[in-house]
Amino acid sequence: MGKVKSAIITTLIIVAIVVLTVFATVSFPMGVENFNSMLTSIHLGSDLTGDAYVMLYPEGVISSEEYNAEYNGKESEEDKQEYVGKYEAKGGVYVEKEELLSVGEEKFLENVASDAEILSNRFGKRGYTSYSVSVVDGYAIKVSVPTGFTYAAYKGNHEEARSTALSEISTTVSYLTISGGLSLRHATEGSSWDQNAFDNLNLLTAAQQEQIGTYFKSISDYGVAQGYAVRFKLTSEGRDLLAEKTELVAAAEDTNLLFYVGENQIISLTCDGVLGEKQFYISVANQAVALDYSILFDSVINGEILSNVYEYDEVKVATSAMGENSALFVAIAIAVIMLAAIVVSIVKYKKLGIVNALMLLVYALTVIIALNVTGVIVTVAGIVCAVLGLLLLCGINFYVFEEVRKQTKTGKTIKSSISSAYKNTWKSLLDMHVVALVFALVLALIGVGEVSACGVILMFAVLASYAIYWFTRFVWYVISGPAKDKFAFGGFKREVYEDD
Amino acid sequence: MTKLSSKMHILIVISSIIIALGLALGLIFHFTSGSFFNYGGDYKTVNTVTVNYALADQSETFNKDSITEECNKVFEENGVCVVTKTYAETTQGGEIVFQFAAGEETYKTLQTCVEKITANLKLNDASMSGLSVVAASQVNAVKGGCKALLNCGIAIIVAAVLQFVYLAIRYKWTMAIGAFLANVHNLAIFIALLAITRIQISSAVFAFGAITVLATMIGCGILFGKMRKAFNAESNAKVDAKDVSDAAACDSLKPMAVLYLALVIALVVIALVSAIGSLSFASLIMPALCAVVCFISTLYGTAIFTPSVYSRLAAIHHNKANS
Repeated sequence: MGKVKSAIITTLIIVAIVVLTVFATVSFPMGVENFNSMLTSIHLGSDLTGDAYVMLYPEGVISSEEYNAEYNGKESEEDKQEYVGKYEAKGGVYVEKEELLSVGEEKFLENVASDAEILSNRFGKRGYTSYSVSVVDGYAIKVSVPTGFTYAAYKGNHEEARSTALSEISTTVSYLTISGGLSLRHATEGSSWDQNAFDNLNLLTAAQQEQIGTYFKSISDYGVAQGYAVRFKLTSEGRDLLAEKTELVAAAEDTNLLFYVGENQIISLTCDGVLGEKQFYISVANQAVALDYSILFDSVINGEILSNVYEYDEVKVATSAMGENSALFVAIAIAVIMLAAIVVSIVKYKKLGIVNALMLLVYALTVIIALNVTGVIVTVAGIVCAVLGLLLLCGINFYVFEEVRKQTKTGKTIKSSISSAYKNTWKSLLDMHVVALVFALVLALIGVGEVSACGVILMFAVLASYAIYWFTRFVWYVISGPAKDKFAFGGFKREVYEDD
Repeated sequence: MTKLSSKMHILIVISSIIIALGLALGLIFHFTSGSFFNYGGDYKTVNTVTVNYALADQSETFNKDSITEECNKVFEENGVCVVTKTYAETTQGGEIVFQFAAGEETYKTLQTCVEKITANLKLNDASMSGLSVVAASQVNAVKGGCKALLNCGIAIIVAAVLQFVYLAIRYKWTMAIGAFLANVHNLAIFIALLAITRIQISSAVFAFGAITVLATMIGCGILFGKMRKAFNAESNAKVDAKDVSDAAACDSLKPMAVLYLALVIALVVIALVSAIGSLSFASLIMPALCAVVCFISTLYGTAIFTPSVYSRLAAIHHNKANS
């Protein structure tokens, strides 16, 4: 390649890398708001930005804070004594004695434990990279989910993203912790057989209400082209039931069929006529809402009904157990690893090492952009997958360089050595990448939570690694174009034979 | 050159002992302490102390670090070790949650600590007089990870089967068997070592399990790539199949070891830098140990065990083809 051509292409490649690196790593103020770099806009898991958690208290149970606040608020000593006599301390919570007596302590603990199992199942279906449901002192339930904050939101540089993430978590918690079974109601047409139904009238008879689960095959979320819905699949009994009820509702003045869980209206279906299909859809605002509704409905039709009604005060945001600045320190660690790989490359392969260093940068940028665009939540395990891809790329480049070195020792020209080296190695490397890609795909599709996220990241890593493996050859060809001694460029020595 | 082919029997014995030991120890712990593995905070009962300063007088003298310091002092005096510590924001202030190992004895000690902390904070600092609560709790985690474990297991099995099919088509069926065996063996060794070493099981272990299989697959790619080249070489046409596979195994040992070592070094760097950042080595020691277990099982299984077993398979296949 000619010197001018080589200089132009090299400059273009380097400018592109520098510009992308700036956008990927540097955040700066832009008017009233900040420009947040691509790196700080990646969504991070709970091990990097902490958890959001809520404490759920069943009726008759209050937190120590609430107890203390109430106690301190009492004016007379008599009131205080009466208040103290009303509650019993159980670890970090206070339980109303009357409530304990009415239900029985053993039964109360049993109910809370079984509710925790149900909540664990519900939150497990939400696809969080990590979550935990635990019983605190036997009487309260703690639910922790990842905040999914970007680094900018975590550090308060992107308030909107932070409040959006927290409000989504709050909405999810409020829906997934609803107690009670599914019922179909109507403002005027339903009967009031259920004494607890104070808000709307139940369209189902007591017998139908009992066997509500038999009317639905499944209830799931559904999305197509930015439109989201809850999909209800019915059994044959369910079709008959719905045909009967929708006929009733369609004839009424108010044509809304209301879906309730406990005493909470979740969703409504406008009935223009009789609904007799195998499945029907009710559209909702977004994917998160579709997921929340479908998990709740699916759980209750499968008999997972919470025994207690739970209350929570607010969603608290906790720092990561790895420290407040764990994300920053993990980023430093990645920078150290990158730097070490670059130094080893340059020491071992001279100017060719610089080519490899550029390719490692391209790899890092590719992964950062991919994570940004797809919004995958990155945990430490996900970072390990990305690092694995980086090492794979570095390893295969070194493998090829060594193969070139071997070829040069046979007396071939550098062009011929490179050609032979790539010819000798591409099949094995392709196999290796195909196997890794299949593995990543399977993890992404079958795995749940963190494992699935790792699969997606690994997929990007493997694809980037293989594409950059070929790009390395091109950049090597371009950058080494003007070099007089192309063997010295890569730190190789040509074997010189006497008859040369 | 080490003749791995001649070591097949002893390697099978070593692997069997490791797996049997893991199984036996896991079962003993299952019946004595209730769990096959040593479950971490995500999956078991822990004790916590929560300092809620929601109603504290947030004057200039108020400082969450001073509360932490005071608590740490009391925990140290009473001989309880903090595993993790997190801060949480609340609308009225915040709370600090200290997590400890499970156990009734620890819980009793923590109740004593709570009394001391409450007294000390109120006595030492006037701004703490309105401190809301310090409370010790027993937190019992619901094992929600079972579905994740099941799905991860299914994913790994499907991936191993797909790799088997791919290698059977692209390479030889004996190599596909070798690679499948390597996956199963390495995962079994990884699990057995987790049971033996009592490394805490957290959600990160699933990821390390998956990395063990992936690293095995990449290692098998290197190993069988070399083997295929060696078997196809004309110069090896009359050489014994065992010798050819021994030579290829030796050839592949270095790149494999370098790749795995680089991965472990990278993991250790991440763990070390994070530990420096959080000033808490306790929370990172388990993932780092898990990485080491992952490295040992993968390197041993892929670079030593698999070639030794495969050489026998190759020899049988070679002999059959010749006869």
